[in-house]
Amino acid sequence: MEKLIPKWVFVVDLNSCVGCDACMAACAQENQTPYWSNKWRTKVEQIEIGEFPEVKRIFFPHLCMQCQNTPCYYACPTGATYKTEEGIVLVNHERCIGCEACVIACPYGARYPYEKDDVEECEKIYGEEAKHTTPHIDKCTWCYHRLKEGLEPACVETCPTNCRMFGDLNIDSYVSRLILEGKAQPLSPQLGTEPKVFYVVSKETPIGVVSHHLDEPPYKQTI
Amino acid sequence: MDNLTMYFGNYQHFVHQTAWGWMIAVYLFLGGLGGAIGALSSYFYIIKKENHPLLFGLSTLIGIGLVNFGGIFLLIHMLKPWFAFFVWLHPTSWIFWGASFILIYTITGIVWGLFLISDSINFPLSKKLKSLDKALLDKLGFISGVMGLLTALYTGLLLSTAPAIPLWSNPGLPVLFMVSALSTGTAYFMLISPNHIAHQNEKLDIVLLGLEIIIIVAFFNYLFISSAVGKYIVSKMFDSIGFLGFFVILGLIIPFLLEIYAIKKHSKSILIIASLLVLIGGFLLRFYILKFGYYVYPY
Repeated sequence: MEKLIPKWVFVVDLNSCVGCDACMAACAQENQTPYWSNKWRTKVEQIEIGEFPEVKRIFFPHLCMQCQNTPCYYACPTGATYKTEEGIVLVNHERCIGCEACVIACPYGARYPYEKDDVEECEKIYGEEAKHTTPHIDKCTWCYHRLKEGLEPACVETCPTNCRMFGDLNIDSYVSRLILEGKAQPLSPQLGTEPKVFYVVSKETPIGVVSHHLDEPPYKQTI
Repeated sequence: MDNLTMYFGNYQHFVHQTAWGWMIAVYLFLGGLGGAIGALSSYFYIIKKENHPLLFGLSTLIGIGLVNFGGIFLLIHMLKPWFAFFVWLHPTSWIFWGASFILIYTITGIVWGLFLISDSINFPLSKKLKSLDKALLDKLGFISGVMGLLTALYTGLLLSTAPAIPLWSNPGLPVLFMVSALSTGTAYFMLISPNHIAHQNEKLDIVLLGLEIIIIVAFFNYLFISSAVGKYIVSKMFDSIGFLGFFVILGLIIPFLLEIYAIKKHSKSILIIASLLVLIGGFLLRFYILKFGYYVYPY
């Protein structure tokens, strides 16, 4: 029997994120993201709202949504942004010229420039094992290299509270049921991008509040 | 931040885009201006039969120079400008089409422009150009004009592919940029042309500035009724002396009124002031459209 192409999906349960940032650390280590420039493939926004004594802290993890209809893919003039047969959106570092059309096009703020200084720092830290050897626009790949080996993304494996969950929509599982039963929702479905990250909403972390507290896009960018 | 007012929509904060700044604004402005100069040159010489080959030939060459000089700003902005030729690898991107329009405009415009000036200025290839088929050169001039117009249109289409930035991703922006680009093109001709060509451009520019005012008002209307971020952008625009004072009043309304006044009084000096204001307004429009590009993130 022919093997089904996996329909990978990602679920974030906002009820259980405690803001430990272990996912960010695991991702930075696995993918050599430029943490030294405060740029991340995945980030947990931590926002304080209210005033003492009515104060609370909310956490909102986000990452590349691996959209089915992919604005960054269409905006890329060089074809550096491409999709695998499983629908994972990747960037060919050599082909990318860094015009930032994809950064502008992404409705979820998932892309950032891996600049010359960052490449130099990466090579300094990781030596011959450096994965970023040329400037390019970088983004989360859901750890595609790990998925191909049957492993989960590094952030999912690391998350101590199971806030981040990963699965295949073809296979009946807790993750696929959360999505198919509508308990987990995509962000900005009205844009028609068909994101593959779904959120289980929490009363404590209402969607649509976090960005009102940000002064600049979630990933630091250059002017 | 006052949470109560935030939830009631009186004080919302949206994320400002910082990827594209003033350098891209210069690129968009020079792309629009240079493209419009080429389009207007072809229009006046081929369609209106204005027999000023030196003026329109040189103008086409200047237009191409401006577009390509503007392109340098995009290149400087890139992480790897020396691989910029890769932009011709993925046709779903507007940059692919923009680069193609500019390339065709440059090639056809240079041949046509050099041919037009070859009667007045002697240069190594002038004799060869004069011997070329006139009908073919007219076709090149026509293609150059259309490509110039498409270059001006492309500057607006480039921004319209950002679904999370409502000010950019709407069908009005390419129209606004093209009308503004043509207006800056007519301003250029008002500055350097002999009187009767300048006069024709002035009449054309009055129509274009009138259209631009209508489109800007329609934009305010669309933004104000469309969404929370739209209201936020309008409030930011009205708070901005640069946008309201320098672009809307000095760069749009005053030149519109000055040109109407100048057409009655036949005043060249007023026309020159109006043209310079239109050119400054053209740049400011692009600068502020980039500046007010607020993201609507879903979280």
